[in-house]
Amino acid sequence: MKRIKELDAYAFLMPALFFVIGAELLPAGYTIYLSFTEWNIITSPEWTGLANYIQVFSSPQVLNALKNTVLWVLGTLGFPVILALVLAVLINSVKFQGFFKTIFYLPVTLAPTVAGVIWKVVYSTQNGAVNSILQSMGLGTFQLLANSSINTFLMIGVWAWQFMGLNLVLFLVGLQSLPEEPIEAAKVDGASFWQIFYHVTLPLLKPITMLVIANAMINTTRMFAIPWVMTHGGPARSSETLAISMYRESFLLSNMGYGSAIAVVIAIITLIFAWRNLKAFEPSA
Amino acid sequence: MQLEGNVLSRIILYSLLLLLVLLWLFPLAAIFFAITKTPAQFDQLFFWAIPNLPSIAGNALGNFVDAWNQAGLGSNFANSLIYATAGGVGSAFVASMAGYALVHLKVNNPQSWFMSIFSGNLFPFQMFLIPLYIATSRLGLYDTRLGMALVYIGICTPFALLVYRNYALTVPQEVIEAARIDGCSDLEIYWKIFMPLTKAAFVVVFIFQFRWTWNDILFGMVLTQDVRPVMTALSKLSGLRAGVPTPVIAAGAIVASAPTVIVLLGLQRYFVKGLSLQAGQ
Repeated sequence: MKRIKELDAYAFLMPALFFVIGAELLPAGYTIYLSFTEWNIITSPEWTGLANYIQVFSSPQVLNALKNTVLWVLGTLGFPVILALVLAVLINSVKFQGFFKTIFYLPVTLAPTVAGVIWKVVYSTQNGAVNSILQSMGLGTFQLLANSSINTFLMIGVWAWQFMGLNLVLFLVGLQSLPEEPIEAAKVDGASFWQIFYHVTLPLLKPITMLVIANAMINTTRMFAIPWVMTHGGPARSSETLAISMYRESFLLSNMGYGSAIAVVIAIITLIFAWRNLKAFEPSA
Repeated sequence: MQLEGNVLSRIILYSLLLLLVLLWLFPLAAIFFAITKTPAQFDQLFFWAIPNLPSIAGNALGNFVDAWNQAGLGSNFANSLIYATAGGVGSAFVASMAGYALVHLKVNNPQSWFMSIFSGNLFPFQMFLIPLYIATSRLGLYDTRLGMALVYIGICTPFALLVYRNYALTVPQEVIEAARIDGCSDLEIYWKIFMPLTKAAFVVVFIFQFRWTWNDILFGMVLTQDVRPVMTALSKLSGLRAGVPTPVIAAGAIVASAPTVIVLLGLQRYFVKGLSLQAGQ
């Protein structure tokens, strides 16, 4: 009877195990194996050791994608995170909080793909929302997304527009659950608004700030949808992120081994960023 | 905490916020101006021009109909409804069973089991794409709705389990014990006691994973040709080669967003709850 009960427990666990092993754990293991091989899908994979990794770190295209990915991560920390923190503190101190929160939260409800499609209309050279205004002011039209020296920055702006509201809501939740006493005490002592922000609020918000930062870094390292929709990583692969390089090498150029190596590099970067969060799951914690 | 100080600093603060609000609404305004014109008018008129007012509704409707029928977004919309419902409901059931087993049944070392299932969440999706493409092709599941639904349930399961485990811990062990003494089987306890008491977890998982699956573009690009989800199709439509006029693409973007905007604005409370759980990882 007892044995049957225990088997019961594992029967309830089975579906989750089946799905996670089938869709995630086995595939991840196989990708790691493929990253050490050369494979064009038609013949069988051929073991080449570290060759793919050496190629990753010597290919100008992938190094450029790595540079762009770093720009994306830095830009994300600069805009959607810091702006959200400052805005949360400001919004928390004004009237019409609900109105401001809703407006900034609106783009969060859209898919990154939709954000990309919308901003493509905004940035378009021919009769775009911005260029039409510039032209009517007699300033002429500007190539925006086709200009490889600025297109990555323009797209990081799209991400900031889309993503900021999410961090804002998290910061507001954090701010509204702060204890009143330290802030009141600082007020009584005559501290100014910004002194309270810097010396009292910010340290109290540190846990949620760390979580927002880790989340933003992990999400941005695998950025795919916005640059794919807006430029396909072009012109001439100039605005590729690592996630786009992985897709292009694997599924457009049939270099499955090489694509797998890029996937592993993305995974390693993400795991480094996730390290802090992982520690929370240690049994002792 | 109220910002104290003189009137001037308050004026500056509100103007700054208002400026940001305008910046945030600018792209949305652009989309709504785009759909007021027919494709032919869009090519001739100034971007921010509005054609004569009575014709706007008809023009917009025409763009929506073109996006839905001619551009074929209607069938992709239906596909995504199937995938997102499967991802949301399927992963909620799979995870509720596992969460119930880990917290309320006798499993050896529940923490290790939880970690092994949750570890699926640590990898970026790029790690799964090639093997899933190969596997679905070999199993005859490539470019099928069944294959996509199964993959999405799998991708959604680890986070769903995180949510369910948290809620399972709030179900008192005494309630489960009492039912057991009354002669209920594990399955009966799961269905009649555990599931009703963890309804909120079901809602959180559903909103989160419905939204994620609906918004996904990557798995659709790799694993489908004909049964594309809506975001993959929209992305292709907006490509230069598709030659679809801007007002029709704008209408498509609105159609593709409707379900998640409705779900997220309607159930924001649950979404924020899920977010704090996710951030708590």
